[in-house]
Amino acid sequence: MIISPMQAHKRDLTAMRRRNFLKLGAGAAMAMPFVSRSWAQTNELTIANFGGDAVEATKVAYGDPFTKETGIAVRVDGASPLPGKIKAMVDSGNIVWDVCDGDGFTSEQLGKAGVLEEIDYSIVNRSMIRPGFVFPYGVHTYSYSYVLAYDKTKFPNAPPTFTDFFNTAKYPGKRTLWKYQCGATEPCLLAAGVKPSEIYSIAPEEHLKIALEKAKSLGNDIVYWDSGADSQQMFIDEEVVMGVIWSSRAANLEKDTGGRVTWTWSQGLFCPGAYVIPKGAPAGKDAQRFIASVLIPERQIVALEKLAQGPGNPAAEALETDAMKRLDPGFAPNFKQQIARDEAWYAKNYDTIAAAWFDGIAN
Amino acid sequence: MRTADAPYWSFAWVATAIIAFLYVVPMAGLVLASFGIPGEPGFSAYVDLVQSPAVRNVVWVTFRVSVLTTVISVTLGYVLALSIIHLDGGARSILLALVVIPFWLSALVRALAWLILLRNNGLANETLLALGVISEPLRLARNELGVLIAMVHFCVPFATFPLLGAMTAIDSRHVMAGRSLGASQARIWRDIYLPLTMPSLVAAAFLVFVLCLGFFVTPAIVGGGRVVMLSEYISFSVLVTLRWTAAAALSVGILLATLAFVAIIARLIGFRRMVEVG
Repeated sequence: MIISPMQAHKRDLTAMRRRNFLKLGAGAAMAMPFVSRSWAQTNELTIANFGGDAVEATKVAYGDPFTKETGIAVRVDGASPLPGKIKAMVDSGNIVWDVCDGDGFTSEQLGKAGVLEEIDYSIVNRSMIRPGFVFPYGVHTYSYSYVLAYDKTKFPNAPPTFTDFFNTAKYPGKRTLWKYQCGATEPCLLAAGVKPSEIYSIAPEEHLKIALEKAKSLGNDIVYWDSGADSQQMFIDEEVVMGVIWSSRAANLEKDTGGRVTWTWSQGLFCPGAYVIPKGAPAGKDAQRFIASVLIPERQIVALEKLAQGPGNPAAEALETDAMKRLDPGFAPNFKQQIARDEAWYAKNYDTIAAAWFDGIAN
Repeated sequence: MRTADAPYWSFAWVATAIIAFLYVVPMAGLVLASFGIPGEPGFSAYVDLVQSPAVRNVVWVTFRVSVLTTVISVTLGYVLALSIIHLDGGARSILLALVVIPFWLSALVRALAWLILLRNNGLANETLLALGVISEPLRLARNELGVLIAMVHFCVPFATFPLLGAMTAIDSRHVMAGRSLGASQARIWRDIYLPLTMPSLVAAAFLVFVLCLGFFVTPAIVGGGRVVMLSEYISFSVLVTLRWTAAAALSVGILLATLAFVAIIARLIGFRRMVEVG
């Protein structure tokens, strides 16, 4: 899952506090993983993800069963493996992370840049991956979605649509979108009348232009969220009446607000999260074996339960309870209502479009 | 240099060499990276930098926010320092403590605290609404105004302390002399305080301005995506969009701008006086 540099920065600061026996400057936070390898056991596998609850949940869901099977210890490092950090690590030649949490499209980008190992599909079972989401440099192990979350007291009868999202006269109050483009431009285009099938087929410049015009038409009624926690806070504080946020956060909100805030899967953006292996990862084939084990349905279910991450293996659906199905972006009835993010489009255009969007929304 | 000093000088050289090494090597790497080395060498990043409306906008916002923050912080800092100097005993300690305490809190904590205070249903708006001063919430956060408020709060101590130092150093006999010649308070301030504190005023402004250029956390949090300053843009380019050459060029750009700024100030007030603040 992509996250913001700001969020990564906060996490770095937390990590620094934990490691404060090393009194180093903030700049060292990024270099930390490069140091820690020398202390690591040789028979160990390190997974990097975006921290928070995902550290413990990943260990319980995937790490512990893998250790039991293979004797290889699994360490989860919540150090936010943003693409820039993976590239810096591989460039430095001192690889600490064996497996990193990423996205389908970032696996394409980094893979083509020579930063990732190719996935060995003789080890990873291709048939266990959702069809259409098999990537050469990453394994789609979980799904998440950018969904329209809303305050139910403002929409008691039916969930809002993206047309309502831009109708402040009828539905007053602030709205929120992500600051870093993904899942933010799509709703703008849909509201502007672009067909779902054409969102990624029109010229990228056109995509951006329509999105920016639409977003700016909201004037001061739009605020942009940065981290997932940020998006949750806006709803809890009733600062916004609706917004496009991560489905996992929407699920948290529903729980925390006793149902005041809920979400609709309709026209959500289905995204394939992917596990990738940095080039030259010390665990070698074990990293491939680990990723193969992540696709085991029983393990995927634990991650769904703990993190609201949809299983990348559709076979896991058979094990889902009704409560789990409601959270799973990949559950067929939910999946049908959403639009799948075009990973090839993102691999090609994300850098340019995201930078232009990021800049365009600032005024 | 007397010979007796020689061994101590050699100690200083070791420290200087270490610092120089730790700065010069990464800096050289940064400059090389901005020219696309390793990779495809060229000036394209700089050309893009000049041509890109996005970068121009970010630079302009950074400059505007930094100048405004500097002017407000230094003005407030000057008034604060002046008040602290003229107070005594308890009141002085309290005022000093009020300046010092926020100084100890991290930028992150302060940014989040400001967000809680300033947002639509924050303490500031709720209070004003309850008092009937306003009928709908003022837009205080997630915009440039919010960023300015939070940045000024961060920068005021940086402006106050150098000025306080300069004001403490003013010989009180100057003031007494002025008074004995029948000068008003305003005249004393204009003809004695202001000229004597001017170098510190410029130096404080310089300090705050350079500090502002590198702000990252505050605009990122309080700005709500509406105020993108250079640091955040660079961080985004490095970590997310992998445009390292562009990020390096932008970093070199800020560095050069800062150095140029130092050179101008140094010429105006003299380098020695600039570093001898407080």
